[in-house]
Amino acid sequence: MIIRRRLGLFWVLFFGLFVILVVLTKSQVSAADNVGSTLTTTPVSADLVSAPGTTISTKLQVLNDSPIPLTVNIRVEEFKASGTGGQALLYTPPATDPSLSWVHLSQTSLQAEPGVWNSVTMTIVLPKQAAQGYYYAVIFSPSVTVQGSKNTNEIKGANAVFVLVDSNNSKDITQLGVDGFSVGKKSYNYLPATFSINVANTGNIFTVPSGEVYVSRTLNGPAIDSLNINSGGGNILPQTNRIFNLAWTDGFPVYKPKTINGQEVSGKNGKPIEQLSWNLSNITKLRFGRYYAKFVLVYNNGTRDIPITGEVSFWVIPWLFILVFVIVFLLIAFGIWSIVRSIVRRIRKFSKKRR
Amino acid sequence: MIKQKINQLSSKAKLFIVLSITILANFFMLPLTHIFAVTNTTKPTVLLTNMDTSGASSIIMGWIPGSSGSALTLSFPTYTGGSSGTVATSQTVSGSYLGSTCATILGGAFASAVEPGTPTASGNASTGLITFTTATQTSATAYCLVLTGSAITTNPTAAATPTATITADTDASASVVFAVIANDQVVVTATVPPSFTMTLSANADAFTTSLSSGSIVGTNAAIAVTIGTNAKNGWSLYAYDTNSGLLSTIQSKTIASVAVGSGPTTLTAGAEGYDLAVTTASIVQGSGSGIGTTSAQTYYASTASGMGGGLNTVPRLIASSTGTAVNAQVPVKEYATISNITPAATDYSDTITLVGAGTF
Repeated sequence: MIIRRRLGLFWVLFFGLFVILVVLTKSQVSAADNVGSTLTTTPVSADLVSAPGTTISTKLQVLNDSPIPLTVNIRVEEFKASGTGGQALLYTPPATDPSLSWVHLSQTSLQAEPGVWNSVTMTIVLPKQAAQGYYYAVIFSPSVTVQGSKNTNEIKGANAVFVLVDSNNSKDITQLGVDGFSVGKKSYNYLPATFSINVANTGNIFTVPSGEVYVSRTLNGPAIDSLNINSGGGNILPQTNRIFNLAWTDGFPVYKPKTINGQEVSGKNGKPIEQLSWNLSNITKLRFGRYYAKFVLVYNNGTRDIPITGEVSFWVIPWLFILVFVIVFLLIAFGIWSIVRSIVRRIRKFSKKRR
Repeated sequence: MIKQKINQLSSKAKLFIVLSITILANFFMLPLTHIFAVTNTTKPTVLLTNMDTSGASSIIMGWIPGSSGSALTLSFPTYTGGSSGTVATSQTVSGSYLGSTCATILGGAFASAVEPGTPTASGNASTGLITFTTATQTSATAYCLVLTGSAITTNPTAAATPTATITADTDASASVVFAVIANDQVVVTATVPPSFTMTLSANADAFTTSLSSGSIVGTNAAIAVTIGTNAKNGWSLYAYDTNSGLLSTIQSKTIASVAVGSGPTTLTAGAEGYDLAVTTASIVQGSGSGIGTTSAQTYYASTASGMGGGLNTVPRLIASSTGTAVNAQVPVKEYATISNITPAATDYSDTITLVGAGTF
């Protein structure tokens, strides 16, 4: 009887302690969870090439920049191109798509200590029937839970790393075309002049084009400036378009984003406010007249480099500058004319008097 | 014999002899004392800007003379021409090297060193002697100077530890040893990987008041999504939610999101609705040269209370940038309103996931 009572007391105490521990742990988690999170991932995207029937792997890394340890969950989804700016549309592939099952992660959850890089190896076992490209998004999500209070939404963050896999199949068709090369305006007051190159991937595998836009005073004349078309090495997914926007800024005066204390200032529409920059050391770069922009885009079709070219022309007429100059010139001319006229009148008066 | 004769002398005579010897000794030793009272140059320092074998080098030198005067020489005794090393015959004296003063370069005891007036210098290619003229020095003052350009036209062809000797005015010569080595450069390499950093200012986003049919209620100060990346092609921010609206499990009721993939939509008080807004006026572009322009995606660009776009379980682009980012900020908040017949409950909530990524 006494033993039973003591055992009962023991279990009551044990249960009480357990409840206290759980409550304490929960309250600590909630305190930590509501402070947000910071994750850094590298690389931003990875291009992999591997033949069907082979295995390829790549190392992805994640850093917890938050001051507290975080549990980071890792999962794989797929993506396709959305729009023409290199943005992705993330999606979970249908069950009938086997490509997700070819991917293995060395860990799907990890405890990320603050300031420590953690590596995750992504291995893709390409079956023999693999064809063309596969586009994976590896998503790193810190595990956070917001303790419920009324009218409160839970906001979670996640970093995605895009992994593009070329199965290097003999049926790969690498083919690009340019659907348009345009200049922002036919006539500019001041630089920058903006150009857009709309590149279409008409093949069946992702491709990275490169090239330059050459600005010259005459058609096919010597270039006075060149702009890199795809300096970031962006991919174009098959059967999609990507528009590369460039700005020619090397002029005087030139519109630049307004900054205060080094921070660019946005307008109400969220876009940066621009203002004219009058850097006198660039006065020799006063642009005036007709200019030509010629692009040379190059991609490799697996056998050789294929160039694509095109050109546009545009005008730079700093009319405000010219207007001010003309007004000043006219004022000076009028002044000189007035002085000369008054001198002539005096001479005439003087001669009349002498007569 | 001598001892006996000394003993025979009187005490006065002994005293006289001792005094005489002492005076005479002092008299004859005075000139010798003057000759050996040598002053010393302290902290002699000679720095070659190129220690490579066969290399040409400028010279940075520092010294603290023990005497005052204007004579100064710097000698490289083993630099006797050809493979032994050669000093230039024409020398240019300066106080700085590549924009830094010799005092800054040498530091320490020479942190406040000055040039010894405006001296000129010339070298002897066959003896390695560099002679300065009008190097005005005051004892115990730290001096430094630079022999610019190829003051040493060639170092020895083989690695060695030659001596350089500074002779300041009447000071004793002060020598320093320096090294001539096969390669004095260290190649530093580093890799900067492409990376993407996203910070959420908080994970809980509470509505400021209880939802009401008479007004549009927004969440508190927007959640700031801060982005930093060196991805040159820019980055994107996507959002999706789990409930496609504000869900009350108690009432099994969802205050549905406004239309997804169109808009932006502005909520009307009294007509049930829920949306996510990127407040365009509060977008922070960040700082740094070459950063991209951050902008809200049209459907979510909010310029007024209640204005935003709908979410569902498929990630939607809500903001993007055209280039790299240094602390670019996208402010995200939610708006909701209810109708008169919306069931009452205290657990209306949603879980929104924001996914950030560099463009591919």
